[in-house]
Order: sequence, then structure tokens, then C-alpha cells
Amino acid sequence: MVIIGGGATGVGCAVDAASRGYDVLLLEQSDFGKGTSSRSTKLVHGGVRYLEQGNIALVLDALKERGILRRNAPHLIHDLAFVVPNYHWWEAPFYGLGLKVYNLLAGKYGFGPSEILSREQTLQRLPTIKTEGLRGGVVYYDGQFDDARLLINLATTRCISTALVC
Amino acid sequence: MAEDCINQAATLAGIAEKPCVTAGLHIHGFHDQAEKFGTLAMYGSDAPAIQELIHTDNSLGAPLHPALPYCGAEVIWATRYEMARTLEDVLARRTRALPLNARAAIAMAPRVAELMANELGRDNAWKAEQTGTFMELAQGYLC
Repeated sequence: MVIIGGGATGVGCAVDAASRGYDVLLLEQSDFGKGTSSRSTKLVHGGVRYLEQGNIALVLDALKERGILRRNAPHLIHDLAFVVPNYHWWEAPFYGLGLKVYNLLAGKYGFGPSEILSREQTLQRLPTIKTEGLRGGVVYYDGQFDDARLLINLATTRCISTALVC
Repeated sequence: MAEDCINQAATLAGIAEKPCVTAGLHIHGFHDQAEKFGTLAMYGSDAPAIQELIHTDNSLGAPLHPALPYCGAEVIWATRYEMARTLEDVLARRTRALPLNARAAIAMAPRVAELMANELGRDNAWKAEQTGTFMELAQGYLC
């Protein structure tokens, strides 16, 4: 198989194909991840906003991939706590429940339980946040990584040595 | 996505189907306790080899800039084993000096060019050209 482009998609496909035993040639014109793939949000997330849109299948899939990535590259994928501040009475139960579901959907691939925070706990975590009307917050966990570093590690993954990278 | 893509390619090309095995495939550098390598943690299982480079030449262990956690051994490593060929490869992607701190990256550039040139067998003209091209790029990261 000939793969054109050494970004996240191309290198990911090269690892997939080479590890299956296909002969692979990966072509890259300058450097791995020179474009988009080194300019991501650096988040490995389960797609929490898709949960709000009701796309459960996508969230399940993304949460599973997030977990697999952490299992296969624990030196690069780390937990990162996110706090959703609440200013209305309904936000604590809404986000509290939603993010509880988010963690439940992750199952054995979970990154840690979400929690409802008091106003004081929220201020402790986000000292510069707007305090007027602040009621509290909800903390949940997703993954953070260095996109270019993961890409280089993918490109040097053992199976790739049998593939030809130009 | 890669799994779907390769499945589709195999189907379209009419070649033998082979199952995807990446769900359990350790990515290069896999290490359970990489934190113990400190500023080299992101290299995972490669970190001891980079420490060994520093061991053979102490000057490679010194920070390239006081504001960033990168040292000369990482430049050697990236050039020798990670296919880095330009100053930008090392300063923007093998390390994240440019997006993290463009001024520090600019200050580091001549030293990094020197290390890379030695590794790649390049001359002074190459160093000047690389440094110039990088400075131009880095201007776009300054505010």
C-alpha cells in the first residue's frame, strides 16, 4: 500500500497497515505533522459536546479510542481536569449528571469520576474566574497529549521499520 | 479511522484481507512510569538512551535555554533517530520550543543548527540558511 502524507491520518494508516503485515510505502514531502497534525488542541477527548447533541454512538467510540490510546502510549497521554463553572441553578444537576454519564459510558476506559464542586472549590481551581453569580462547578477528566510527539512515536513504532518511509 | 481506511483500501484493491491488530499494539516509547525520566518523560523507553548521550558528553545535558526544558542531547536524538532534517523540525515539532516560547526558540536556533550540522555533516552555509529560514518563520509567532 502506498500512503501519501505523513500526518496523523497517514502515519496512523501506515502503522495499521504495516502491523497487519501489508507492505507499506509512506511518502511525506517535508516533515511528519508539518501542517494540521502538529496544530491540534492537544486533547484526546471522548467528544463531550457530542453527548450534549445526543450522538451516543460517536461518544462511545471516541471514549474507547481515548482509553486504547492511553493504554498503548501511557508515556504521552495524561489526565487533565476540566472545570465547568456554574452560574445558574440548573447547571450543577445538568452538567453533573451529563458528565457522570460521560464517565459511565467510558466504562473500563474511564479517566476518573466527575464531581460537583462548591463555589469555594471552584474558585480554588479557577482563581481568576468571574465571581459574580458563581454558584459552583463540575470537574471532569479528559486526556492531554503532545500531538507531534505521538506522531513521531507512531512513525518509529516497530512494525513501521518494515515499511519504507521517505 | 485507520482501521476503516485500510479495510476499505484492501477491499477496493481486491487484496487479501488481514485483521487490524492495533488495539493492543504498544506505540514506540511505551513506558508505564515515564515520569521518572523528568524532562525526558515524553520519550518514554527512549529516555535512557538520551541520558546515555548526556553521559558521554555532559555539555549535551545543559538546557538550550533557561526558559525551556530542552537539551542538546534531544537535538542529536531527533536528528539521528527521528528523521529531523531542518531547524524547524527540531524546534517546532521534535521539541515544542517554537509554539511554547518563540523568543527562546530564536535564541536557541544557532546552537541547535550547530548540533544538527555536526550530526548531518553540513557546512556553515547550511547553518546560515537554516537559521535564516527559521528566524523568518519564528517572526510569525511573536506578538
